[in-house]
Amino acid sequence: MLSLALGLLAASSSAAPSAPASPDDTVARMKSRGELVWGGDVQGGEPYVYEDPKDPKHLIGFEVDIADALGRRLGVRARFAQAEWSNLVPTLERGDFDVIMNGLEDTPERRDRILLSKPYFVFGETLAVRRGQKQHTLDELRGHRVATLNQSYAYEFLAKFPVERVLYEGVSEPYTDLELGRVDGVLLDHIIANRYGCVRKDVECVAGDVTRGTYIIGIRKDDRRLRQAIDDALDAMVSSGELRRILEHWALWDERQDALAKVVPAPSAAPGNDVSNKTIAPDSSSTLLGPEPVRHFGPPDAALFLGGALITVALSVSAFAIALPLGLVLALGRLGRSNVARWLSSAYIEVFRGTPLLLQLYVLYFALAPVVKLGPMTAAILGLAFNYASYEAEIQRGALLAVPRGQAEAARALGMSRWQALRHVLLPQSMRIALPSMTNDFVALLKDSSLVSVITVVELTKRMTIAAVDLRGWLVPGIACAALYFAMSYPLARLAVRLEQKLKRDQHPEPR
Amino acid sequence: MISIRNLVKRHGDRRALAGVDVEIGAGETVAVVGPSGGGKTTLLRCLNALEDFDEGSIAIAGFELAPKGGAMSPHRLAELRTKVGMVFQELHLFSHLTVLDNVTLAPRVVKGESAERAEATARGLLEQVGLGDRGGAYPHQLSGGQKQRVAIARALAQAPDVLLMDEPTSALDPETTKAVARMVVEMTRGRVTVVVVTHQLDLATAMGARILRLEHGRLAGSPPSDPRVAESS
Repeated sequence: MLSLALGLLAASSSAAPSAPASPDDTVARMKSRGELVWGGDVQGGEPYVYEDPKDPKHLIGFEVDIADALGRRLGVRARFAQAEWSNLVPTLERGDFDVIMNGLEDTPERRDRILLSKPYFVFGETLAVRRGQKQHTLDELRGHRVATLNQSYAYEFLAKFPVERVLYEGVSEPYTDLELGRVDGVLLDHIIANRYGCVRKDVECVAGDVTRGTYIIGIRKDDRRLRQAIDDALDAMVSSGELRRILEHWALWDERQDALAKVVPAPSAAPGNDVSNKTIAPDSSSTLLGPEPVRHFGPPDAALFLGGALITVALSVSAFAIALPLGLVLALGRLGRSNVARWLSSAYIEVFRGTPLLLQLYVLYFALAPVVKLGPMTAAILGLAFNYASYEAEIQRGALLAVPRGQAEAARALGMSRWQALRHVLLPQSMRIALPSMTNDFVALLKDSSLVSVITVVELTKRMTIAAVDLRGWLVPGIACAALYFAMSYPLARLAVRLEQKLKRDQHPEPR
Repeated sequence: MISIRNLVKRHGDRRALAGVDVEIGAGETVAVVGPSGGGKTTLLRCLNALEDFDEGSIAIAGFELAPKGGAMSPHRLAELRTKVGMVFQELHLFSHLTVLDNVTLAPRVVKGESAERAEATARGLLEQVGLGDRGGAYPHQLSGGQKQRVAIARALAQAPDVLLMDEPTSALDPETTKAVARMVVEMTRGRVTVVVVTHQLDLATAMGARILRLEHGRLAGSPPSDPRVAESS
């Protein structure tokens, strides 16, 4: 019944440009828009899709090249859209992009939930262990902790073995923990293992693939026509040798890829124009890109970090601008004479204060998408605002109660209405009392805004995690990120202290 | 100007006011004296409807007050309170506003007077209470006596017919008390009916007030200016 109602609502909203409203119209929309929007997470790092070390505003990677080739064959431009890797499927379903292409593996769960294209890459699962360790197979690792990525094929595969699975969100951290002894094995795609694991001094990669799998392009359940178009394009890329050229350019071509097609033509002598002038030409004699960073932290990163900080500020200021008046209304409702308003305000405050902000963001962005399809920034601002309104409500309520009772009485005795007394006498005084707490609350909001990366917004913290992959380390980006947060919050914290002291000085008890 | 009939106010089982009858003429100054807990402040607060009463009736400045708040609209209530000014024992000056703004706020907000007009009135009143030069000061910068004067100016800013004062000089020294008394008399004489609650007989005397003694919620004997006052038991 509810789903029917939601479905009707979704069908009636034409505002959503790519909402999965009616089947098969994504192709038409894609053509009229002139672009194929493909989703991925830059945090996955090279060689999938990552920021060009020469110009971090520009994305490169073998998937970028494949997407561009697909786009050309479909007669549209390919445009990348950022989302958290572990949320790619729900973000596709809510219509933020047309397809997923970001090391998405063919798994039974995904087959149930979305349409999968033909594969564009064959990977092997590589088992990495600590150098000198006794156990070298998953069976030998019985009862041990084995790390892999959240939502990955390896995660499903490991379920068949008597090991304890440990989930990570980043590609580098599992190997760090392997070295540190927090886990005893890491099972990940060979691309990742070769770049982030096997190159480490204390990590030993077990020869041979534990199993093999494929990367596919994820498509919404209804978009059968789009899948057909993409499959046709992929077929053509395989038979023309274009796919092989791209993979070879990225030093990713190996015997595993023979499975992509029975007959794979040899690459033509001259590399395609599209890939010949790439800035990075990895040495094909070695599939291992050493542990050296793809790039070093430089001015372009600093600019991107400042951009991230700007988004953080914009998010926080906008969210607070909504949270404050909403919180005030809630506080007045809770203090008011109407039972209904009191009950509603209390319920709101308890629900939003009593559940995690992360959950609220998920609900707002993913669960409500069939009903109201909010943009990422809008959902982020509203999510933060709704959550922080509950805290603001309690701050404002406390402050209103802290204004001496006589002030309201004096206002009433002068003939003011409740609203006039509130507006002219109570609020000016309660705001002053609330100011230090409000400032602290805003600092907390500034930091909580980092949670919105789960709904595809790239703010300062997400910017840091993306950079950490390419820079092969957390230290420099971590310090840069912390410095920016500190630069934003410390002046506010000082201000809060100053305001508090001023308030104490100004508070002269009324004479008796 | 004020006519109180059989006024009863209960606090639970206790009767704070146990049948008060009194007539106060226009322009008259009345001092209600008596021990603490005798119902003085309660009586005063009933007069501008800051508190409800349980039985009886009050006629004041052309308004009829009925038990349990009667059926007075918020608009009528606001009107009543512009006609009946009040000075609280604790003064309750608006601590976020300057002296001048304390005095002009209600005329502007409640009566809708223009800022210029309210300010002109306020400056005149502040002049009269001897604070013509302190309009820009904040309450916490003033002495006790100065604050008291601001509170009086604020209560008179809407040109009320009745001025209610609750222990206006309890925090002041005898000299200041006398000065405040003189000032109130000058500012209200003949035009404003004044009801002052006090435990300082010398203040009542200084103001030339008729004295009503309120004890155990009843008015005890006082020189009645109106024979009907004697009816109160």
